[in-house]
Amino acid sequence: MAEQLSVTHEREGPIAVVHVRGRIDSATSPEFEGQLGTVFANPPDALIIDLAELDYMSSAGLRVLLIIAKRAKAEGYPLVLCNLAPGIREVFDISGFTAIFDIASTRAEALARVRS
Amino acid sequence: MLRSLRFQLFAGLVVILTTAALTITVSTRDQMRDALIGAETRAARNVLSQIEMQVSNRYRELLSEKLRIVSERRSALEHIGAVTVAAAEAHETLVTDGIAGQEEARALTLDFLDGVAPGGSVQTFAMTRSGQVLAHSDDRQRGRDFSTQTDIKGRSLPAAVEEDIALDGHAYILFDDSDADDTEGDARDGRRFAHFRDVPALDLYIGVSDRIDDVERYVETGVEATIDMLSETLADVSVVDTGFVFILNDALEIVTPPADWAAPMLNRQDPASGIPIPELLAAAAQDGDATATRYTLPGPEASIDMEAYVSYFRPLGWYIVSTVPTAEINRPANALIRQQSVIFAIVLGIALLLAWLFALTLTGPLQRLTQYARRLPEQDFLHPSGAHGALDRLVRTHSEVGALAQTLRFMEDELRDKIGVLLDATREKERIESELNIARDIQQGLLPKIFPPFPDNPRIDLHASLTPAQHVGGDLFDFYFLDDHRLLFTVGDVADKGVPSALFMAITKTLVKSASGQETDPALMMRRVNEALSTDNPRAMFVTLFVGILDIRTGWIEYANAGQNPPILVPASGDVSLVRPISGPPAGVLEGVAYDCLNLRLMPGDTLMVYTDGVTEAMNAANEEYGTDRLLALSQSLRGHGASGFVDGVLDDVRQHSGSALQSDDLTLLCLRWHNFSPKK
Repeated sequence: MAEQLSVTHEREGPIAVVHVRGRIDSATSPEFEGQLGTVFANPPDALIIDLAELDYMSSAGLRVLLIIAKRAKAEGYPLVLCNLAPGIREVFDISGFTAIFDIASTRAEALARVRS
Repeated sequence: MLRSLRFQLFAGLVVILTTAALTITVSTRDQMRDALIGAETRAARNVLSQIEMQVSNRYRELLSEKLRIVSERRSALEHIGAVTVAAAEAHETLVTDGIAGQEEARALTLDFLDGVAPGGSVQTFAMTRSGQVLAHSDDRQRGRDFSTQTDIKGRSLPAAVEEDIALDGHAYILFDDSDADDTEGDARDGRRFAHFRDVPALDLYIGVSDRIDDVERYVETGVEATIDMLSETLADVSVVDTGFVFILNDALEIVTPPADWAAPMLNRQDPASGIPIPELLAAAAQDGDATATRYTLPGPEASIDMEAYVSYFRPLGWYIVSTVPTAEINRPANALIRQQSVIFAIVLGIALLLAWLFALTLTGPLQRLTQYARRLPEQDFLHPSGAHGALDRLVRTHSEVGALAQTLRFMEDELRDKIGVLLDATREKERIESELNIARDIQQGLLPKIFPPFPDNPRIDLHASLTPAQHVGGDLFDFYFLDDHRLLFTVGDVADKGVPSALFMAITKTLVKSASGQETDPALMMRRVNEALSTDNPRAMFVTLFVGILDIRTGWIEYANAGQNPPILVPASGDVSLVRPISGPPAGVLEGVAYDCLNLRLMPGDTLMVYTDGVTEAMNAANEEYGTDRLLALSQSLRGHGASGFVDGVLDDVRQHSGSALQSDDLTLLCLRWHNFSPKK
């Protein structure tokens, strides 16, 4: 099996951009959560999670996103998801998460949204 | 055995010791033998040279005695000769003085000589130049012709005299004056020694002679005495042990006898060469006495190998033989070598014994270590062992084996610790396992188990199944009548799996039950559940939940879907479809969410299937999802089946898809088929 999950993050000024590749399921969600924890270690002004290369997300993955969202909300900075593939978008739609998260279609749009 | 360290060590020491012993034995053996044999042969040669010296001294004494006698005689002869010559010269002066004629003077001289009585065996005489004896003190020899007599050099006597006088002025002539009759005691008997002078005036040689046989006889007597003395001496001389010295003369006759034991065999032939032994010994003298001559005495019972040293004493023509049995010469060497061999054998034996003990000492600890290691499996590793006994003693030796023993001890201790840890872990795991098994039983107990659940109600055909991926799962389903007409059914899927999910599932199920007692609208029920779950939810656990209420009289379903997979509607006729609308996000996500109340209507014979994502996201070995499309297509083909058959059909197909892949998520199906049949009266 190829690499299950890879999480990289970069900074565009005060904005943290996390790029997720692979699968997020019960097995990889703890790692996903841990990787995002390193982002919070150095609190950003805003957080963008780019899901362009995410192949699959289970409810465990959604739970981690929910934890991140709650934390972002508690610490008072915006969280925007972007580049959701159709399959992922469907999961969001089906589970009703679309209504909960701020979702942009591209990274540029997400950046524009957090900067405004 | 042969590959054991002990044997190899022992064999190595054996090789080293044996090599050393053999090298020393071989290298010293020949030297020792040569040295000892050399000593023995030297003894034999020493005896020989002593005897030789004795003989030669004795002979020299005899010779000087002989010389003394001869020179005495000679001076006597010269004295008498001088007297007779003086007489002759006196007569000669008569001639020169003219007193008498030559003839007269000569007659006077001859008369004088005839009348001389020199005494003893001395004879005086006058001889003409041609050897005619004119006067002689012995009457019988007057007129004798000396020209027929030869001296010992073979010259005619007158010629010899003339020759020697011409050289020296006088002549000493030795001649054999034996006559034919050989009568003992007559005048002409034996060898004589004569002194001649020339009296030229009288034309005469005047000679004085004396016999010398007696001188030679004196020497012979001396030699015989010497032989007697030697015979006595040599009888007492023994060379080495039974060796002896004897003497042969030129004629190879025995001069002094050999030892009694060898005498009978000495005249025989040497068996090897076929030469008579005396000849062989005589020939050996040519080689000098440095080298031994070997021969064999052919005995009546056994032949005896001998070595001989022979020296030839030329003046007497004697072969002096020192001879000894070869075996005696070799005996000390052989004895010493035998003794040395025995000593070596004993030393080697002791060395080998020590080598064996050494090998035992070296390999014994290894063997004890091996035995200890072999007995290790019999030990009880559950309890720490205090002392290691044999092992501890080995460690104290501080040798390589000790280090090995220490390692073994360390290994054993570590093994004990690890086994202890492993045992604890196993016990803990067993405990958790058993608790999880109990938890599963409890969780399974929460779910309805009796199917068909409503056998008396022909309008409801309901079947459900829940397969957890682990011991306990986060999926749930439930159904029950709220009143005579309204059937509540619910399917939920708690995010993630395992024990936290199972706890959350149990809470959710209870909350639904409680909410359904307080509300009639499923959306309001959902709202109550959501509020309860999202308050104090630090782990952000949530549950996708479908709550539906079927009016069994009309087929209408009011429902709320909080993020649950869209249920599939399988109409009695027509195509299957997904029931897509949702009421809101999963319960537990967000406080204060208002869920929409949705509804749909079942026609008689329609089936509604609610399922969790464990169905559509079931993976096969190639990591391919089962998928919604395949579920829809299967549902289409299963149309007309009862709820039970439908559920089994879907489960079979999902299992077929998964194959050997591990089930990754809980898998839950609930199938509800509605009929518009009147209840039986």
